[in-house]
Amino acid sequence: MFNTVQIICASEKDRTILRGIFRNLGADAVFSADLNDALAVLEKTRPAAVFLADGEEPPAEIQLRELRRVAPFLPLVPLLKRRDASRAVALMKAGALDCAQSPWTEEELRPIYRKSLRLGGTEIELDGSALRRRRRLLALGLAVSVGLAAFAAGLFYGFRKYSPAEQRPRSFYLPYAHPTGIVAKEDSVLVSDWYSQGLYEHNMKTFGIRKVTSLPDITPVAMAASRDSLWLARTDGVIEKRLLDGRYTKAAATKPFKPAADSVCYDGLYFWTAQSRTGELTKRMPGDSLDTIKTYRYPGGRLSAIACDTRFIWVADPARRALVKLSLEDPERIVSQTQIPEYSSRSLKITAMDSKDGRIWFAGEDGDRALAFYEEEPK
Amino acid sequence: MRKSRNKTASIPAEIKTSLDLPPLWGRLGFLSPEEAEVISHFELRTGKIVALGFELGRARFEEVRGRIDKAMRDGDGYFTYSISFLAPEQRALIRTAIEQSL
Repeated sequence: MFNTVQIICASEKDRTILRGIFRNLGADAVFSADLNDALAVLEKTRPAAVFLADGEEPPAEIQLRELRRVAPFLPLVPLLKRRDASRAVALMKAGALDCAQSPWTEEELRPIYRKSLRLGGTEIELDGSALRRRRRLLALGLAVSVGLAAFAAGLFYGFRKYSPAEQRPRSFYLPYAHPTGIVAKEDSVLVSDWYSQGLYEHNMKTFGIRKVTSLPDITPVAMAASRDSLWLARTDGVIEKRLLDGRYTKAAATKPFKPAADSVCYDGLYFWTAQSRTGELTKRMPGDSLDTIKTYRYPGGRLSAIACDTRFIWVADPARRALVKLSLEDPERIVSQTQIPEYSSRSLKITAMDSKDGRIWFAGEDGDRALAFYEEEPK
Repeated sequence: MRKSRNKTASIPAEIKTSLDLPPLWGRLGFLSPEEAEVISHFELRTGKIVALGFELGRARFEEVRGRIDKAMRDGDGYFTYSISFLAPEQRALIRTAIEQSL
């Protein structure tokens, strides 16, 4: 938008005020001390509008007349020094587009400055139907716009709903080779590795490593988490309870369990440990000592890792190449089983699992590489 | 009803909103005996009763009472007010003035 405006104002104080206002409005303001000065530079500046301070010499009416003589279609705006409607109307009759009242502020001048770049006229009529017709047309236009917007929204919704979902990777190779535990958090995934004795926190979407915590004093073989704790099972059968602070500070440790658990999970009420060689599942109290409540025998083929949620125990069964769902009340009863496609790799060994928000997360070794992946929970 | 249309330069108008406050001003964007559209950079609320003062041809109207039915703000910050005239006798005078000016 062409934004040069000419301002006729003799007072240095007023010019300072107006300079700041027009600068804030984004206008390129050219100041003239009086009418003669303004007329002299009008050809050169070719302003989009002229603003003239009222109450100076010559009177605004004369300034309007002379300016209209030179530039009849140029918007002219007197700046009144007080609110005087009679004078404003008189100056508008004399050719002013509008008048600004005092005090001159950015808020007061903004609409007038913007309107000064556009003009119109009064339509007069005996019958008001034209106005109503115009309103009907406006309403019709509005209805068409709303209809189009609704159509576009429907199209967008339909596109979102029925177009194929964006393919996101659901399997990730890990930069370490011996994962033993996996815990899915809100937007990250924590994986323990026995060989490097570390906890790796990954971005859930990209699996880039966010943080590594070294555990030099233990070799983690399994991991589970509750809302406020992290449990790490050690090779010697001890299960440590750690705080979910930045360094996973040790809070408690059990006595060594025999045989040592190599998979653990927490169902929100009880703690579960599993031993892959014997196929035993043990239900435990969730206290620091993880006292045994009852031991069950896995009813499927072979147990390699377990996960729990508040409804089921999930088991990765390499013999059946399946994800087996067990009842929490009776873990010796299989509720269902679903094939795990990743088991098509004969060398895959799932070592860790977790259940979070309808997804079952797995970590394991595949030859000399380690990977993590997830499956949507089977219905 | 006979329909007549004409277009003239926007008519400046005084807008009285209260006896206590100095009047405001704007322009008539549309005028008929029943209603008018007033364009002004001053903000007024819908439902307010205002008194308009303007000239049409040789006739001068003072304190034509009307109610603001609608107010719309344009992209520049100007308001367009749809005002319906309240007094039948004033409507008749406006009708006469329009007939004379057409």
